[in-house]
Formats: sequence, structure tokens, C-alpha cells
Amino acid sequence: MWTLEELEPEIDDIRTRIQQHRRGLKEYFVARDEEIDLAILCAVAQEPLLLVGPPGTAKSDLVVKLTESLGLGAGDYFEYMLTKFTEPSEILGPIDIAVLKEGRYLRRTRGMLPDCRVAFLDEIFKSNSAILNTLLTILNERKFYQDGQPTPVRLVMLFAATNDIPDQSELEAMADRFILKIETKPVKDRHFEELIDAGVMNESYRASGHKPWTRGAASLDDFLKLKRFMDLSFGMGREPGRDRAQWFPRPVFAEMRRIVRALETEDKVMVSDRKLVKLYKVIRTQAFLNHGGAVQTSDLNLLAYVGNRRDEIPVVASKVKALLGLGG
Amino acid sequence: MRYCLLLTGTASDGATLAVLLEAAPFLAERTWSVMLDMSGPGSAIACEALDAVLADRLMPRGLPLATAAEEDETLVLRPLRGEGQVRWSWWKQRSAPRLVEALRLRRVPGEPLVEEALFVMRSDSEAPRRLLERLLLLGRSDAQVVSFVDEAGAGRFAVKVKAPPIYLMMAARDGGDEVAVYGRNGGSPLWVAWSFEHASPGPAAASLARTNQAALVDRDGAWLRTSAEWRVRAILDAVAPELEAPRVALTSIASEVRFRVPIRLAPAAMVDPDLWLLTSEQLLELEPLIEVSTSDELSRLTVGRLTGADGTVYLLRERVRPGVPRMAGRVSDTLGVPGYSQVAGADNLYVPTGRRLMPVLRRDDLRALLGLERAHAVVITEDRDGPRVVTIAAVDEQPLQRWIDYVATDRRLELDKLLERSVFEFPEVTIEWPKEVRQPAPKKPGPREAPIKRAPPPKPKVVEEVASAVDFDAAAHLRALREQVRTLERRVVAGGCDEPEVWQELGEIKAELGEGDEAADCFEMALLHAGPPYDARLAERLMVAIRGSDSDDALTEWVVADRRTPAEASRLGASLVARVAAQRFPADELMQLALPIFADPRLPVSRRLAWAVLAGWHRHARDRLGVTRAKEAILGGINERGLSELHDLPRFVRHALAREGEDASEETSEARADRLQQGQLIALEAMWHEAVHAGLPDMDAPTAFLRLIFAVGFARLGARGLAHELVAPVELELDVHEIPNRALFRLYMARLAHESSGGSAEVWAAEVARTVEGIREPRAQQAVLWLQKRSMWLRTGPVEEAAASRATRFKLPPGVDVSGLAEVVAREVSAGARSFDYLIAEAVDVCVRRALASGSDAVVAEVLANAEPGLANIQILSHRAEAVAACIHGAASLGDDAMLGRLLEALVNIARSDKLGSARELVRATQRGLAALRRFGGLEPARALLEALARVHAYTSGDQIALSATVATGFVQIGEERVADEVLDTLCTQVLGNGLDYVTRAQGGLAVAQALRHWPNSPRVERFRRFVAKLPVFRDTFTTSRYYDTHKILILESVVDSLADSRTRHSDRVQGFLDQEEHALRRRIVTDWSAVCGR
Ligand SMILES: Nc1ncnc2c1ncn2[C@@H]1O[C@H](COP(=O)(O)OP(=O)(O)O)[C@@H](O)[C@H]1O
Ligand SMILES: [Mg+2]
Repeated sequence: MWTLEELEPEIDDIRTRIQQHRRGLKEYFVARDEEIDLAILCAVAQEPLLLVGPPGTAKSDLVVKLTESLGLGAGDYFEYMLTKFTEPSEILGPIDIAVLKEGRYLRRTRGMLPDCRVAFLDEIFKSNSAILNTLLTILNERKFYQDGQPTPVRLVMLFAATNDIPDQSELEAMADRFILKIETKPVKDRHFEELIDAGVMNESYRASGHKPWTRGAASLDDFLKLKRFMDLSFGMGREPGRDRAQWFPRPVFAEMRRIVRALETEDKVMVSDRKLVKLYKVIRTQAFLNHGGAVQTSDLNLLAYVGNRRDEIPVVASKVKALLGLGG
Repeated sequence: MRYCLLLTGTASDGATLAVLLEAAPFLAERTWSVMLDMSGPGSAIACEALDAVLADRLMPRGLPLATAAEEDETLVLRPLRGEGQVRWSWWKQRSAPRLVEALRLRRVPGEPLVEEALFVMRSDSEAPRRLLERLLLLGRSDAQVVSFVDEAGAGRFAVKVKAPPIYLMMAARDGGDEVAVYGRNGGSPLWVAWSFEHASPGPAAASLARTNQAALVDRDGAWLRTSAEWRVRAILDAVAPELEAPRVALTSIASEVRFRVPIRLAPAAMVDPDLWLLTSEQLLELEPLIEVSTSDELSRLTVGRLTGADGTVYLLRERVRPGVPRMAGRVSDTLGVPGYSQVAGADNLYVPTGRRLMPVLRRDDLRALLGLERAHAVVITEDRDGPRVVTIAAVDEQPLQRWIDYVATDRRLELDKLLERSVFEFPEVTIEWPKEVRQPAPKKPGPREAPIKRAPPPKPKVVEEVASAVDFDAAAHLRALREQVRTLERRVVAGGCDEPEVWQELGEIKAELGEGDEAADCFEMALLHAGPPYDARLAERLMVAIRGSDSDDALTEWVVADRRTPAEASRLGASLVARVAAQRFPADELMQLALPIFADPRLPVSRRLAWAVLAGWHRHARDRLGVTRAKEAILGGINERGLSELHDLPRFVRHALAREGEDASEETSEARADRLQQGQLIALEAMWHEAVHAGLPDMDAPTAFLRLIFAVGFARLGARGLAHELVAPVELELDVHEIPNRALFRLYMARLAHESSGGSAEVWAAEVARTVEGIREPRAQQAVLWLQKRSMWLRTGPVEEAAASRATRFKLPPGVDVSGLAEVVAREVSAGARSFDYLIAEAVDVCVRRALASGSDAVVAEVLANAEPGLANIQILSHRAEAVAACIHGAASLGDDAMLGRLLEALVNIARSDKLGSARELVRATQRGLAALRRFGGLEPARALLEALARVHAYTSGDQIALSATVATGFVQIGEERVADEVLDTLCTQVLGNGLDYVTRAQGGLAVAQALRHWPNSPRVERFRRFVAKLPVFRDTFTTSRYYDTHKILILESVVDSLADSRTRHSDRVQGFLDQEEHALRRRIVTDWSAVCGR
């Protein structure tokens, strides 16, 4: 693992590369800047991201291009479209029959979710409860239980997409695990021509097997290094409140409190304690990635993505934008 | 040293104060001095009257008394019950004129919600502008502005907001001294610094009320008193908006130049006509339509008689009722004249349908030019000489019924029963019929006396003498005949009865009863099903019943005429059949003219008569080619248009169907329509009472919506008075509501007026536009539009589902004829075609439809054979479903069971798939497939498909709901009401239960309400009550929920609308008959054709 001393000299270059990477990716999409900013941030912060939107709004395309741009090695990427008939073994790996005869219950995880570094689960809410439970453990604890024994997973980035967030309690825990959710809206009404042009370009890439986005400016290592750097710097403070005092100016912090309270009291949006802590960290990470320093009011834009339920997401997004527009 | 009372700043202070005031009430109105601990919540209060003596007296009560002394700026408090002293090094002191004003406020944890907030700031600072700007950015133009002058004479500016934004309150509270924020609940005069509470709010408020004052209490507890009456202004009056943008000014120059522009009529989109100008002959041609229309439908047509330079002209007008299908198309079809449509924006100006005035003029100019102000109506007609302006000064319009002398088919049933009962109940007397008239032929009571309410006591002419046996027998005979008719009718109303004997017997009895037209329908059926060569005697009976003629002259005259009325066409047909059956064959030349007339699918006669003419002749001529062409013409026509309610439905069937479920009880003698409407009214009233059962004391917005929606329902069922009663309170208190709701209420009231008067769609659209444009604030306007667009009653423009008229984007390549269809379809569906999926689906659909319209089985078979293998190439499942449905249609017409099986399975698999994007196309495909199966294959395959679909678990709950509703409706339509009930009840439970998101739930509710239209009245009501009772589950979190609950309103609307709908169910039953009939007719045609061709 890298040390702070090793990372410090190159961290600014890493930031620049990731920013460049992000810019590059945006070229392949129409009006998906917000989604890409968020996806890159989640990739850095290693927070799972949920894309919610109707079919055909480039959810899959966006995640696939992003992951392809990372230059992953064989077996580092796992992608699956879930259905309610999906069996756990399709995601976690088949049960090892040889070992089962000895009475042990192990899965051969090679090339499956527990073994990969980056994963994309399409239609994630269609999974049945057997899969849901395992996924929850993987997300919460970064662990996977083999024959009762926890084994760490290598997964660092998880992207998920869905049409809808069903209002079912068993899915709530899963939905809640995604701190950030973004709604992908169709763009055809506003960007008709650009969309067609982008579509035609995509078709021709597909036909020719040409994938220019794979030459991203940053590599998986860059993302991992930045995350490591952030972790180390969060730890530097030691005493409570230190990180906040240094990186989170008081007025901005007060603004964050106000917005969170407004969401909670006026719109009944639940922001759990865990979520709040995670939010703090991603906001800090975004600030560092974007301007290398203290959090600014504009970084609070991330609060726009904390909506939980399907119908809440757009409400929260527009409310946070409105409140931030009030000028602190 | 002073004596003082220690307050901790916690909830225990309340008890302390209560004890103090009980022991020494006079302390309440004394002046107090307050010492505040600035590093904690505590305070100490002292008063001159609280001296050593009083302290001594109070001690036993356990009050926390202490002495206070100042030592080097530090306040030292020594409790009298010596628990050790307290020292406040940072403290403040103030005085208060009474006890309630001496109490320090308590901080409540977190950010409490208050009903109203007051932001107070100096008027000469930047703060007011900032706050107003923010409020406006948040869309809170409902805030109010108050100004004060404080004791120091400094101007204070305050903003009062209901349901205040937490964000702004926090910003004010935490943002230094610039803005102070106070909160209050329930209109109290006590405004307390927000996030704090007063230790004794009751007495504090009471003390203010006594002096008619209000007070702002700051954190330290200091009061700022003001008069209770504040002068408030709207926030928008307090801002002076400015726009920083460069301006360019153009000055106008007065000009007197006018240009002469001739006005002409130009082509425009076809719309339904609103009125017709008819000659008396044309008016009479309405007869066939009148005969098949319900009284409800007829009541929508009015006629006025006009005279002028053109002689007598009749003005026929349709009173358009919102939500009710227009009659205009049928009227124009029957009359063969196009009619006139209202010009948008001018209430009383009409132009020929499909024309418009060019150029578009201002309304005022139009008025002046055509004298619209002075006329009742102005119609611009057009003939070879150009436009003419017909001004109708005044007209007395009467319902159409009054103008026609027709036997009340509708009411005859009731008259029959009345007569029979009078015979039955008074066996010793009888009704005296004129001897020579055997049948009663009861002249319909003058329409002015209608409608029949309770059966009036029969007023038979009582014959004192013992009635003659003959009379008694005649009545009994009549009764027996009617009984027989009913028995026979019961056998045929299900449709598809192909036993000639049954039809003939029914025809004979009807003829005996004097019901000639109905007898004709029966004879036609009997002839058809007996097949050619037709029985000469029967054919003659038909001709006589239809009032045909077998003279050559008459035949020639009808054949060579330019145009034939429906009656003339029928007469011609029946006469031809009779001549051929009697072997008195018409001349070949005549037949050469007559055959194409009957092969034309648009000829306004029944398809059975058309076929009988063609089949009879070709059979005689042994013309195989001719009979094949005839078969294709008739079948192609049926394939394309189906059977027509107007021409193919025997009239008595409509009434027999309407008698649904009545046979058992002879008691119910109200006309069915009345009865049904009565039932619906009762149900709606019951539901209303249930809804208000909880009590609707105040007029909040939900109550107002509830009232308005029910009112529309009542108006629809004709209970106008009740409707207005419901609305009156809303109207009265309109002003208390927020702007968007106010506008919506106005819209509903306008809707109500429309229900009563029946304006056109354009008028409604204009009304809505006017109301919406009247709202200046964009957010409020949006809130209104949000509901208006979603509401089935408020929306303008056509309902989305006009799928049939959806433009097809696939075009057949030019020059392709029927024989080329198979090739086209093969090319389109082939894997390499690289076409869009929707285009492939449309191509399949277009080719199958064309093939069907050709009437040739071979063509249909060929197209299907080429289409079926390629269906799987359509990747997008919803489009594949459409293509499959088209093929099902075709396969059903061929009776190819193997292919049908495969296609049905494909449809079921699509339903089951998780890849199905949306259920809408699937639902449409299923409906089409079902309709086709019912028409071509009878009920069995339809039932099989429904059963398979009922077992499908669709992928999302939204899809599942849409699918279940379709399946349930399908079951009802094929008469499987029990199964349908089951499916529907499961669905209801799902919709009302947990586990759905708000939007899906609401969609589900709407789907159920929609489906229930197909149900009989009473189970419908029962389920709707469940819905209304559970209305609160239809929640939403839309931005507009600040004003109203979108889903609740939509559901309620749809429930009420569906409850008041009587047409859907009835037309389902009629369609059911026609489907079966078509099936039988098709079989018949194929049989007759085979007989000629020897296959
Ligand atoms: N905003 C957009 N910019 C570029 N391409 C788009 C956009 N929206 C949709 N597309 C294109 O539409 C297609 C469907 O996208 P896909 O990722 O499969 O959608 P989803 O996963 O949301 O159903 C892709 O080829 C994608 O490139
Ligand atoms: Mg996808």
C-alpha cells in the first residue's frame, strides 16, 4: 500500500489526469456531464452509484464506457443483467461440487462478482432476496461468506442501473446502500440533433470495433491512489473535528446542515447517520478532486443525489439546486 | 442582597412557576428583574415583593429560592436550602413589567416545525431585499410583508410566511443578528424566537389578548409588544422588479391604410360537424339511424324548422356532450351530406366541415363582418357559385324525438308488460280492442308525456258486461305470442344462431304482432342460413316485410339511381332475392348493374342481405368465378370493417340485450336506461355520503376537490340540482384557497357547466386556456397545468389512446398489389433487413390488413407464412407483440389452429419476458388478438389466451397491473364474469395493498377503474366503494402536493366517471352479438361458396 510520502509528490498529476479522463468521457455522450462527474467521483471515492432512469437513456452505455476506459485486466470486470430468475451462482460463482462432497459449501468465484475489481449490475432491483442479501454484505462489509467464513472481496467500484426503485421493504436496505442516486433523463427533447449524431457515431464504433474511449487519460491505479490519499488524509487529523476545521469552512458546513434539515423536515427524505458521514467524505473527495482544497458551497451539489425513493429523486435534485441557488 | 427564584431553563420550570403563582398570585403583575446566565440556560428572577418574609413563607413549598449578590462582577447565588452556591461570571440583567415577560425562553432541540414564521430585520439594511429575493426564488410569493416602527423609532421590516422554509429560518437563526426569526402556532399573538419555547405560553398569550396586542419574544425572553392588528401587504407589492437589459424602442407611425382582402373558404382538417341544414326529404332519411339509436343518443339531436328565401330548411344540430362519443359521423354517413362545423373562437359561426375561413380574422372583425352579434347562428354554405352567408335570426329547436312519428321501440317493452298485467290482474274485465285490429299497435303516448315513471295505473276501458270470450282469448293469445317471442329471442341474442327454423318462426310471430321491420330482420336471417337456392315463399315474405316490389320497373329505377337511401337499397336487395328465388330471373343487363352495387362493402344494407343477393344469383348462374369474387368482396369488407351496428344488428337484439338480467323479475318496468341511470345515481349518492361521513366541517382544498368531482358525476347523471348544491360552498369560499387551487376549482366548475350545456371541444380548450393564462405567476400556472393535463375531465385535446388513427410510418412500396404482399412482408422481416423494429411491425400489420381486405384466404395464408418465421427478428418485444397480434388476426380468419397456437404462445411468452419495455403495446396487442379471436374463432381460443395470460407473472408490477386489467376485461367481454371477478379482485387487493410505489399504485387504480366500465352496475359500485374508502393510500410526493393530492384526485375522478358510464357495458354486449354473428356469417359464406364451386 502506498504511503502519504509516496503519494504526495504525484497527487496533483493524478488529479489532473482524472479530470482529463472525465472530460474525455463526456465527449461520447449528450448532456450526461452530471452523470459522468458523479460516476467518476464515485469511482474515486469507491462509493457505489445507482443510475435510475427509463430504458435507453444510456445508463448501460455510460457505465460500460467508463469501465472500459479504465484499462482493466482480464477478470477485473464483472457485468450482469439481473432478472428475478437470476440464480446466486450466476453472480457469485457455481458451487464447487468436489468440495461439496466433503461437506463444505464453497463457490468458485473466479471471474465472478466477489473476485472482480469493478462491477456493473444492470436492473439491480430485479434480483431476488438470496442475491440481495449477499450483495448487501458485499457492499456493507466488503466481505463475502464462503462456508461461513468471511473472505474479503476485491471489489472497489460498483455501478448499478435500474428503471425503477420498487417500493418494497426488502429492497429498501439495498436502495439505502447507494448513498448517491442519479436520475438519467431522456435528452431527445432538448438535444435532438446531437443525440442522433452521437448515436450514429456510436453505431459506427460498434460496427468497426473501434473503441477510442479505452485510451483514457487515467488508469485504475490513479483512481486507487487518489482514494488512498484521501483515506490517509482523513486519518491525519487524529483529533475529532480537525479534518472539518481544516477542509470544511464553517459557513459551508452550516449551509450543508440547513439543506439536510430542509430535506428531512420538509420532504421527509431520510438521511441516516451513516449516510451523512459518507456524504461528508464524498463531498471532501469531490472538493479535492476538483480544486485540490477546501470544500466550497458548490461542492454541496452532491446533496442533490441523496433522494431514496423513485419519486423522491427528482424532487430532492431540484430542491437542492434551488436552495443552493439562493446564494448561501 | 436580593431574594430570587432560580429557573433552570428546563421543563421543570413550568411546575415551579405554577407553584409560585398559586401561593402568591399577585406576583404575576409585578415588575421583575431578570438575571441571565450567559454561559448556560439558567436564570434567576427577583421582585421587590419577594422579600425575606415572603421567601420564608414560600420555602415550605419546595420552591428553588436563593439570595443573589454581586461580587466583583460575578453574580453569586446562594440557595436558601444550602446546596452550595452558584457563581455566574458572565451574566446579564434586564427588567420585566410582569412575570410572563421575565421568563427566559427554552431552547428546543433540533429544528422545530412551526405553522408560521416572522422574519424581522431593519428596513434600511440589505436584509429585506435578500430575504424577498430568496422567497421569490423558492416560489413563495404567498409570503406577506409587515412594517413596524419600534420604540426607538427605527423602521422595522418583517415578513410573515406560512409553512416557512426551514432553510431560511435556519439561515436567519444561525446567521447573526441581521435577521431575527420568530415562530408561532395556531394564530397565537405570541411570536417566540424560533427554536425556542416559552415556559408558560398560555398565560402569556392570554395577557396579550387582554390588551389586544401581539408580542415578539427574543431568546432572552424580552418582549417587544405591538398592536395585534398588522397591516400586511403581498410580497409582490413590496418588490419593484427590474430588468437590466438594453432596450430598443420602435415608435409607431399612425397609418390609415387598409388593405382589401377577399375572404374565402379554404381546405382544413376534417372535424366532426356540429350542425346540418336539411331539406325535409333529407331529414326523413335519418330514419334508419333513429331506429338504432338509444333515446339517450337521440336526445342529443335537436331540430329546428326554418323558412326563408330557400323555402323550408331544417336545422339539425348535435348537442355535444363531453366524454360522450359524437354522433356526427353516423349522422353524416346516414344522410350522405357533410354538415357544418363551428369556427373556433366564434360561438355561433359555422362553415362547411373540412373548410376554414381564409385569412384568419380578429374575432371582432369577424363579428362585425358577418353580423354575428345580431344572429342566432350564421352558417357559411358553399356551392358552385361560391360561399353564401345564411343568417339564422332565431330558431326554436326541439329534441328530434318530437319530429318523428315512430313507434316507441324503446318503450314498447314497458307497454307490453303493462297491457299484459292489466289482463292478468283484472281477470273479470278486459281491455276492449277494436275488433278488426288484432294487434295492439299501441300508439306511443305523445312524447311530451314521456318519460314513463312508475307504471301509471292502467286505465282500461272497463266493460261492464261479462267480456266476450273472443276478446279474452285474443289477449291471452297475444300474451302467449309475446312469451314465445321472448323465448325465441333468448335463443338468438347470444349471437351466431344459424338455425333457419328458429329465425323463421320468430319472424312469423313478429309479423303477426305487427312488427314488420323486425320480422324482416328475422326472415333475412332465416334465408341466409338456409342457403341458396332460397325458398321462394320465405323470400317473398321478406320482400313484403321490407316493402319491396317485384315489378321490373321498380327494380330498374332503383338500380339506375345515382344514390339509394338505405331503405331503397334494402328493398332492392330483398326484391332481387325474391325474384331469383321465384325463378323469375331479372334480366342479365339489370343484374350486371346490380351485382357491383351489392359487392360494394359500403352499401348501407346488412351484409347478410348483400350476400343473399350475390349468392342467390351466382348459384343460379352457376358462375364459379363470380361467386368467388363475391365471396372475396363480402369477406374482405367484413375483414376490414367488421359488421356494423347500424345495419347488421337486428334492432330487437339491442333491446333484448338491454333487458339483461330482468327476465326473472317482471316487476322492473322502468326503461332500462332510466333504471340504470337511477341505479348509478343512487350508488353515487351512497358513495358521496360515505365520503362525507367522516364529516367535512371546513372547506379545505381536498374537500373542495371531492365536492367538485362528485358534482360533475351528478351532473352527468342528470342530477343538476344536487351538483350545484355540492359546489355552492366551494364557490362561496373560493378566495380562501391558494391561487392554483382556485384556478383548478374554476376549471371544474366550468367542466360542470359544460356537462350541462354540452359545448364543443374547442370551446372547452379555449376556456381552459383562458383560465390558465389568467394566472400570472409561472409556478402557480405550472401547478394548475400539472393537474389539468392529467385530469380526464380537465384535459383538452384528444385522449391519447387514439391508436387507430395513429399515423403509420410504414408505406408499401408503390405499385404493390395484393399478390405482391407476401414478398414485401418476407423482405421486411428477414434478418438482414436492418430496418427499425417499429417499421417491421407496422409492415407486418399493413400487409396482413391488406391481405384480409382482399377477402382471399390464399393471400392471407401466403402473407402469414412469410411473416411468421421472421417475427423473432423483431428484437423490441413490444413491437414484436404488435406484429404477433396482426398475425393472430390473420390466422384466426384462416382458422389455422396450428399457427394460431404458435402465435398465442409467442404472445404469452412476450408477456412473461423481463425484457418487455412497456406493457402498453402488449395490452394493445392482446386486445386486438382477443377481438380477432372472438370474431373469427368463437369464444374458445379467446378463453384459452386469457387463461394463459392470467397465469403470466409480468415483470414489473406496473406491467402486471396493466395485463391483469386487460385479462379481467377480456373475461367479462366473453361472458366469464366469475373468472373476471376473481382476476379483478386480486388486482384490487394488489393495488390497494402495500408494496407498490405511489405512481404504479395510481396507475393501477386508474386501470381498475377503466376496466370496471365493462362490468355490470352493481359489482362495479361495490368495488368503487372500496376504492373510495381507501383513497388515502393513493398518495404522491409531487411538488404540487403543497396544493393538492394529484393521485387522489385522479382516482376519484376516474371512479366517478366510470360509475356514471353506462355505454361501455352495453356496447360490449352488442359487440359480443356482432362477433358471434360474424363468425356464423363467415361460415355460411364459405359453405355457400363451396356448394357452387363443388368443393
Ligand atoms: N444522452 C445520450 N448520449 C449519447 N447516447 C445516448 C444517450 N442516450 C442514449 N444514448 C444511446 O442510446 C442507446 C441506449 O442506451 P443504453 O445504455 O442501452 O440505455 P439503458 O441502459 O439506459 O437502457 C445507446 O446506444 C446510447 O449510446
Ligand atoms: Mg441498460
